[in-house]
Amino acid sequence: MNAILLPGLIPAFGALLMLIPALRGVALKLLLLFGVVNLGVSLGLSFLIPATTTVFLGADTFIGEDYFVFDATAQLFLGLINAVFLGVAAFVATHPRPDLSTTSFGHRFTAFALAFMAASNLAVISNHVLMGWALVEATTLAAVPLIGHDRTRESWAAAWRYLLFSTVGLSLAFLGFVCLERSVEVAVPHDGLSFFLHEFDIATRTSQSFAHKLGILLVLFGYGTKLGLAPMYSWLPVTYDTARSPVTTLLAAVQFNVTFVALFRVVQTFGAIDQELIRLVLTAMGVGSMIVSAINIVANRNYKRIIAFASINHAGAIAIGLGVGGSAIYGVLLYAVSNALIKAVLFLTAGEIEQHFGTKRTDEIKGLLQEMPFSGLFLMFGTFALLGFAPFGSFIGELVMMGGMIGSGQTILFTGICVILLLVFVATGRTMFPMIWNAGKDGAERRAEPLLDLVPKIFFLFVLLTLGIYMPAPLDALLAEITLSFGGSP
Amino acid sequence: MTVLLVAMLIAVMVPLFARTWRTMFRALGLQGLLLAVIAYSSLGSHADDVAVWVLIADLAVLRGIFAPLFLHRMVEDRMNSAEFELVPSNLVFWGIAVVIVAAALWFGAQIPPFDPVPSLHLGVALSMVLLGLYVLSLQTRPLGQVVGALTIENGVVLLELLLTHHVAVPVELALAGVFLGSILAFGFLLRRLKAPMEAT
Repeated sequence: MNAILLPGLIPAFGALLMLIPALRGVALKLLLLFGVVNLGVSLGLSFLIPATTTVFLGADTFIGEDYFVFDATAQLFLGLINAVFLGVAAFVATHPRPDLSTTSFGHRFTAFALAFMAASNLAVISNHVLMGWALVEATTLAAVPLIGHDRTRESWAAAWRYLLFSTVGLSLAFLGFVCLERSVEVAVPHDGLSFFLHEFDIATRTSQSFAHKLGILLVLFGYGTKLGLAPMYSWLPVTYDTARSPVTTLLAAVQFNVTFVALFRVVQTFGAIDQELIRLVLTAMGVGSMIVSAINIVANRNYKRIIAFASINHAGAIAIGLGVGGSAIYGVLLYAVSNALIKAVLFLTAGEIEQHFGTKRTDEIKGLLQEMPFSGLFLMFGTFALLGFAPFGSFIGELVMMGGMIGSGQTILFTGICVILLLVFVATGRTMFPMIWNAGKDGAERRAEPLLDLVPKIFFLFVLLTLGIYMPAPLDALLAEITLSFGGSP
Repeated sequence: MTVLLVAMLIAVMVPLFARTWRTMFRALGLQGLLLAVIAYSSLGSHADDVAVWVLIADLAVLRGIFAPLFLHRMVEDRMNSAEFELVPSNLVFWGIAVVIVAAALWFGAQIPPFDPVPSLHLGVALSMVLLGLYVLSLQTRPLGQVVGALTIENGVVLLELLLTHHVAVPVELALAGVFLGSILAFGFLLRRLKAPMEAT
């Protein structure tokens, strides 16, 4: 079924269209159009193909083998990243800010954002670990010009750091795959490891070899770097802080999940035979990330950086949940979905606040609800969701993950995480809420916030709330199917 | 093969001691060309496989010629001195580099199969990865960082050449495309960062 390639081919076609000078004037409208079409196609595929069915693609096409797969994991994350992308596209296309709506920004943003989405969508449906690796790296390359868009020394330095860390991290992940292959060749001469995910189980024959364990370690470390996990996390706060808010949203909500899917598929494949090693590495990286993020949230007075460090905190929680496995996987998936929507709301709102107040310092902003009531509300509800308050989806996801930890007897880990979350809760609340609630300057004018500008954020908050109050049956079935395929019980 | 691997080790070590930025680019080019020759030596029996030729072309043309020439062109008019230190030029840092290489070669000899050539192959590849990480840990200057990152990449490719099973044409093309994109991005940013020799 060749249609499963459409979520990758449609934005790739859109990116190529930007080479036509005559279309540059309508670039942002095209961006919105492609966002709508891509989400429609992704949801249409999910509607046509049941969650329990896995469709392979490639063997009957010019690429020769089954390089792509449409399964429950692909269904969930294609829908998610394309929904976020549509929100970003709507935000950019309808935005009244003059610096965002110039032709120069418009066509370059459209070209690279669509190229970024093409690679992201193909990476999510990739059935070959090396092809998936190359596509994740392609998303990095498409994001570099977006991060450096402002053409300042600061933005180029952020783009440089992002590219360097990504390249090194992904090189280590690639080295891990080579080690896995080598372990098979040494153990079973004249045999090799197929890098197709559905044939990856040959590695079980060599699970005790040193090369195999080193390979797993490097893959987790490499993809962990791309997720912003400790110890190689320092690129993330700089990049998220420096890039424009729509770009940061693409990185935090789309690229994060694309890398998460790549890591998820590897853990899914090797989890059964290397459970202890994977648990140990992911827990160490996760706890380390939560600790460094908590310290930095306490020390920071820059709201964009605080949200960025909260992203590291969430990545840490997701890594720990993934390491725990079992029933925690349902919570990890729900948390990852919620996390993407929270980041979209918060980073898009942070961009608005920065534009209006001209600062990122929390102690220089007051009276947000007076001057920008909608942005104030988005920041408030987004922060509630960020901190895992009920009734948002993140609360349920966190609860299920914590339940999984207790269920697997990891009470010390559970207690440690509770302490870190409490610290993050107090530190974030102490710095973010005064911006929202404290009285502003006398005579400060209320800023106009057009409805079209608000729609994406309202939609994301609505979905976040829905996930916490009433889980739609098709989504519940999808999450349950992925959890089952991981070996857990929903 | 042993001669090629020893030559590769020299191509990795020389820029650590030579202290000029032009030597770094020449060494990177030499590494790419040596990788292509090693690939041809070990995969020549699969000459009917298009993927092997895509790999050799990637190594010779992209890594051996294009990458060093392109990066050289991007920085040449911004370099105000011929000197550039990848590692501080004193016995302590040079000694650490030598210990890293010795440890990698020893490690390569401990991993089965215990044949001299695969062991040396593994040892040299690990030396490249570890030396690349060593350079990255010491460098705050973009030019030095990119050399460290490319040394790691070349080490990973050398390790990949130890494998007897190889990936198909679409994957080789994707990997070559990503490498080309990375070089273009590195060069583009090197050009735009005010001075590649200054710390970021």
